[in-house]
Amino acid sequence: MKKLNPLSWLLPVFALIVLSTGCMKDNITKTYQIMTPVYADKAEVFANIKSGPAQTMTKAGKIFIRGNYLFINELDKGVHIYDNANPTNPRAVAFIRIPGNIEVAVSGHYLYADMYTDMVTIDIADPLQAKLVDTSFAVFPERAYENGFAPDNSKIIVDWIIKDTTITIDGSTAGIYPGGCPNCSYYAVPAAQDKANYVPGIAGSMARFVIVNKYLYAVNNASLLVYDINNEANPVRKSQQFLRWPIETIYPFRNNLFIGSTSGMFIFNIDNPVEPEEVSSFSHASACDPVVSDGDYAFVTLRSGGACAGNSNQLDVVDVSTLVHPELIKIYPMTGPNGLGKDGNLLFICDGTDGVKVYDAENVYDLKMINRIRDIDAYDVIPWANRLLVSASEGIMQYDYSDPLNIQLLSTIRTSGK
Amino acid sequence: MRIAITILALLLVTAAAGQSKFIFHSQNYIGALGGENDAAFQFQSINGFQKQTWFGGIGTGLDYYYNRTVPLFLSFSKYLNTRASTPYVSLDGGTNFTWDNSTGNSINGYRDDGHFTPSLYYGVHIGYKSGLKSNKGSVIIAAGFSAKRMKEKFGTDLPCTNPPCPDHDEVIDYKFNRFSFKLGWLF
Repeated sequence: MKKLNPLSWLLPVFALIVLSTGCMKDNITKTYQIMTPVYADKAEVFANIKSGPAQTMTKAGKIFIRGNYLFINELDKGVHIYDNANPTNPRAVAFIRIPGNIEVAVSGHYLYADMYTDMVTIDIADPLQAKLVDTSFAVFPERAYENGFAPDNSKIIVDWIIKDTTITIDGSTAGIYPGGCPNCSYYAVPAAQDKANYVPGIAGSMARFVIVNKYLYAVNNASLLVYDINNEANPVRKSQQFLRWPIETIYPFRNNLFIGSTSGMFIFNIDNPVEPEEVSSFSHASACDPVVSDGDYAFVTLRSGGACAGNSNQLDVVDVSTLVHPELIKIYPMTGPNGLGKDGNLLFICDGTDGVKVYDAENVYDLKMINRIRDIDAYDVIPWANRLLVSASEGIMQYDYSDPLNIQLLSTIRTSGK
Repeated sequence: MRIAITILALLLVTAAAGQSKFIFHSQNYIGALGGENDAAFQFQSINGFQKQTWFGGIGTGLDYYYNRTVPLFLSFSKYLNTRASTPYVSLDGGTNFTWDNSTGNSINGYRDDGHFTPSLYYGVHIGYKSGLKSNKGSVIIAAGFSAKRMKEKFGTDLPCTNPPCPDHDEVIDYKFNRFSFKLGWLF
């Protein structure tokens, strides 16, 4: 039998395969969540702003300490109230349902919280019988829209129905995020203010509400608003100042407000509490930047990536002893810093997955990391009277730092995830 | 997958030790991949044992189609006969790992914490083994179909500048079907 030359059949077969490549299609799909708002009538929502049974925390937001109570935001849902008389065993007392809530502050027997664009005042004299007493409208106008999503403003979004959706996408654009994040919101938590001054409660370095001497200062994306709360049940807007840069956080120290923005820091004097006066500003590269101060120095963490843009992850130490001339004196590299807090010579910095770093800040030119709380993804801290309150993706932790070299975990309020 | 590879390796080693009919071979290919979205280079090294007209082994390499990945697979070949030069068919199946586990095509600022997970990899080829003189191995040439899959999961934190941020995950499932052409050396 004649031997068959392999090329005589192999080449046609290969050619057939090559010609068939036009039939080979890639299939690229993207699965995401479509979020459909659940509306309720405003009257119904207002009627339901009251204490309800304690609920499991799913995602810890901003914290406010007042006396023996912790007020912890649940993103877009409301405020958990914990009795923290025993820090080793905080006890859930109640949950106040406030749709769209992110911020929380307390003065006297009144709790102030945002509800999307508005701010509500709630009587919490008896946390188990909390009730709505006042509403201030249009405090946070930017929250009327959620990334291009225009809600029905005659009603209030109280929940979202989440449905997984899969679509086929073009390979040339796969992996490029097309934008739009229908349920993204703006968030934040609290830090120790000047203990010598009147402190109705303690918020963290990422707060957008602070209370100083019976005035509530709130920042929205573009402005600083002042509310007179001498009558705590009835906040009265006294002024509004528009600021140059997108605003993120506000931190009070003595008669000054340190306002963090994506491009820098403003310092406002509040000798006249109803008309804060801009003293100076300090600009930096574009980044997210909570700020705290001890009067002589301001500590600003810059975090890049994500919506924060930029490419800086660092701690800026700014000399603010002369408020009119803030001067950058030292930069310390960080991993992905968020909130921070200062108590005496101790500086606590949430540095993303690196945990909470504890520095001896006696010499700001040479900060020394003396301890580190590992294995938590922390957003913000409140150091207060040797007790460190940490807000992290894992939950709310409390530590005893009376010995900074040997920080002890007191308790954890675990979140249940999504 | 690890268990399957371990079992196969043990079987091959045991068989090789117990029976002299199992002969070690290494197939080493370079080649091209062509599909709807890309044309790319590939490299493969498959090492295993042959018994009569059957070959089984473990393969790995580099696959540059769309996103560089490292396949890890079991490979089986059936030769038409035991001569030095013979046609064959092969079947590969396993998983593939992305070279860089972080998301590849991101736009700065719109993604956070993205990662790929290992996913399916398989292929079927027909080829020809041409024995070299002096028993220095064989030239091997093969063409066929190759598929790889990648799953990319990422979260977005836009426009949340002040954490904690709401969770928002997306998953992209890539299923690539490619023409595969390979040329190599077997020893």
